[in-house]
Amino acid sequence: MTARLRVLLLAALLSALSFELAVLAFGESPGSVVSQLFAGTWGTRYGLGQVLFKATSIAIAGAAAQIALRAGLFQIGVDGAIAVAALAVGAIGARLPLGISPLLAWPLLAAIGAAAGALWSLPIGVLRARFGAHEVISGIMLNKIAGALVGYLFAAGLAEKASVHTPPLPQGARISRFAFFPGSAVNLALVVAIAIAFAVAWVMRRTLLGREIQALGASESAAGAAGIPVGRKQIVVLSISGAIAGLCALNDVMGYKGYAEEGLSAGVGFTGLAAALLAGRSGAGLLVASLFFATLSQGGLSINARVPMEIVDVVIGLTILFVAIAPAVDRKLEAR
Amino acid sequence: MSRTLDFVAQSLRIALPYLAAAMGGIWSERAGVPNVALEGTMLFAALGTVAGTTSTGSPVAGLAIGLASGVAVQLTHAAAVLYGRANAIVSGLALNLIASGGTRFLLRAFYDSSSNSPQIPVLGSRTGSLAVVTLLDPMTWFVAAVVVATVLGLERTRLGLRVRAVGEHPEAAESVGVSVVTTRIAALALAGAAAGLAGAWLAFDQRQFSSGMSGGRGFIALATVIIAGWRPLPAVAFALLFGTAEAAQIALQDQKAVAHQVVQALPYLLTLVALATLRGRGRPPAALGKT
Repeated sequence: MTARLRVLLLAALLSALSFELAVLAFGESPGSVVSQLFAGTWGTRYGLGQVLFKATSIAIAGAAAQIALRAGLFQIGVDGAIAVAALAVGAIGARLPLGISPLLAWPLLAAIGAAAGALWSLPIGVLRARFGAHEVISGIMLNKIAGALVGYLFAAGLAEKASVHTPPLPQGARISRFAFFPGSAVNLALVVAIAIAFAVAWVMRRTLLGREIQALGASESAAGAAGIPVGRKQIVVLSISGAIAGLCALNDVMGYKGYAEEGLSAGVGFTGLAAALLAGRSGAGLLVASLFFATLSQGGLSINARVPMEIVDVVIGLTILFVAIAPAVDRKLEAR
Repeated sequence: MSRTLDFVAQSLRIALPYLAAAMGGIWSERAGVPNVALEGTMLFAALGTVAGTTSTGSPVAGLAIGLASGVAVQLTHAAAVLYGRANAIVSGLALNLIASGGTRFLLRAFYDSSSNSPQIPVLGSRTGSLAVVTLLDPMTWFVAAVVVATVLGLERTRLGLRVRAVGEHPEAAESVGVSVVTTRIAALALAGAAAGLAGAWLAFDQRQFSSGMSGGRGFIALATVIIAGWRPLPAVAFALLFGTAEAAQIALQDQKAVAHQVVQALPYLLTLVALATLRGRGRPPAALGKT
């Protein structure tokens, strides 16, 4: 067994254990809560569809976080980029002509989402590269500012009267759902998410930019000494990350709701970062980690009546922590 | 006159949680341990304060339990980073996520509510003008004590010297017999108490716990630490500056000339602008993050 796999299994074991302890502390039986969690997710076509739907956004947000992580940057600004991109896609999409063809509408709105996300993440890169401001702090601040800005723009007239969402997109701008999962929001954006996950891994392995990002992640000073313009590459990576994040609008706005709504994808950026931390450098790993967290998040809804679903965030946080400490624990176990 | 006085009091009140959390950030980062977990520490401490107060009926006991919760979060950070060899940013982000979900989980477990706890009694009295209330509030003086203890303690005590040594050159500190791990644990415990005090302050200020009530203040406090070049006195100045700017904003908000969302975003915008423009002579501790 490879060390990485052993580490992940160890972390999974610790997270499962803490989940069950929390359930026990809440006075419920872990076995039946876990089986209810699985019945509500992988047990029905609807549940499975919802898992895939949530995994789509998590994987896209995760790819955004992953490419930045490979450059040694913690991209916390994914949530803000998603919020701004969703609003841009919703507001512009709603104004497209009624009879627009998907062939035109999909790439156009995808480009708008990516551009909005990239633009929103640009300051994080500039602040880091030019002023040395830590990306975690600027990312959090920009998330908060994005929330306020989106709320302001909705109130200032982008939302339909007496609602918190934009007018609906024309049919041609909607992304088709899969009929196999009745009632569920899973849609063709899932294919985009899979493609992005593998594309990021491919770019990292096969392109010059990928190698430069890796060099940056290994050591900023060494990369600089090797002639890589560190600051400029950091700005580029964080903008690409923001652009990827912006594509979440495909899933939530164009596939699910058919309009942009305040708080639509809130928090998915952190779950994506968690998935990226689990996945390391692997594209397939990112998809598996996204499925895992999507199962937890959808399963949280199905157990909510018995155990508060907030337990899911705790388990996700614990999983990150356990994955982070598992190599050291593994080495200590090995040494015995 | 009384309006000016109220404004000064308001500025100070807003600055108090920043001050306490920033002092915590300084203890931790000067010891070489990056601390983005201040936010989650405040959140757990605020809930601990409220839960302690509602279960014992005594705000003093509540405060003690709140501080203990803050110390517990930071000791977890210490365990993950110092023994588990976790990246300190990863550990901090994970703890923040655990705090955000965990406090909402406990809110439902304790009070069967997803938004807020019942009202709690507070320390001190709430009668009289804002200036009087602030001056007579023991929490104000606890924060002041933390500030004085940090300013003097970091420069003038044996622990402060050791903290600075392990943050600058851990190998050198170790070679003269200072335990790096023990010193860092002590520094993080202090950080937990200080950030815990900030969380308790929020709980008493709002007389309840509400989900996500730290609202990014832990990160703003960390930003003041960085802007201040990891030095306590400038951090105090910047925390007061942030408090004043926010008080000015609240005054603006009352005039209804500016949309409330814009006003809401101002502390965060201010933090960004300050991060970009106010970096002075300060430099990070040499061993920061090399844990």
